[in-house]
Amino acid sequence: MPVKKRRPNIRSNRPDLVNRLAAELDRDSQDKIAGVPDIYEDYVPRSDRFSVTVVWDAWHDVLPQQRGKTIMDAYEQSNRREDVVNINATLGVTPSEAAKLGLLVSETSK
Amino acid sequence: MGLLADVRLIEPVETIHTMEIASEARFDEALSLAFVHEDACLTAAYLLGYAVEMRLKAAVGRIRGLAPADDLYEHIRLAIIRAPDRHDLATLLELALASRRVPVSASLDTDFRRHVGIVAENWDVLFRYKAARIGLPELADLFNSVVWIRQSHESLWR
Repeated sequence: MPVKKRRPNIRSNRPDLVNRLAAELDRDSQDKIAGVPDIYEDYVPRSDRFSVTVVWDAWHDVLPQQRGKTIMDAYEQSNRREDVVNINATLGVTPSEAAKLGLLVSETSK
Repeated sequence: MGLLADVRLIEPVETIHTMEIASEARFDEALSLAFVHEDACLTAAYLLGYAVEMRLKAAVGRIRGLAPADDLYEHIRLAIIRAPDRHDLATLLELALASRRVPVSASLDTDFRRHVGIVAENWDVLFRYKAARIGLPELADLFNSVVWIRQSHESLWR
């Protein structure tokens, strides 16, 4: 019987958001523009490992698992692709969700 | 074959890897429930606690050098056989901290105890029997500590 290989789909189903987030990573600006994501990188002490939290209105119709895949794909597509192996967790929330949950974000935001 | 047999065929034992993958899955499922079905926030809380439990168990396995195929669930069961509650997060954290050859820094020790304590105060396996309706704001303390543990767990075993 032929072997049928089935691999989990680890890619985002929202390439439009991947493009926008990757562009924002490349822009790497502290200027706050309406509609662009807030990106927070929290580093594990004495390590290159870090977690990424993206607070963004655009997540409103995206399931949490897809938000994580979108963040990973955006790093891979951006000039930060070499950092992908050091990402230990991703979290995407809308500003509304972040406010309701009292999400604590670091002061070392991008 | 039933579902249980199917799952056991795919994953005969719970390893470090399967626990870590399952922890992430429960975390994502909890967020889906909390964000998409806001009236299911108590179920989200129920899943968030398990996500932490599995992270702590996986950390114990990594600290103790278990092999990739080793049965982590059984290892933990034997390690805390005298504990009154196998879901007790404080016991699992103590096991992880005590298993290290070199202690974590004092500040990290304090942070882990604080966040695991907050999760323990805001989570109970008995949530599955409850019908209470809570909202996202009631999840805040639990959620923030779960997020911190999810982001920091590597510090326990690296």
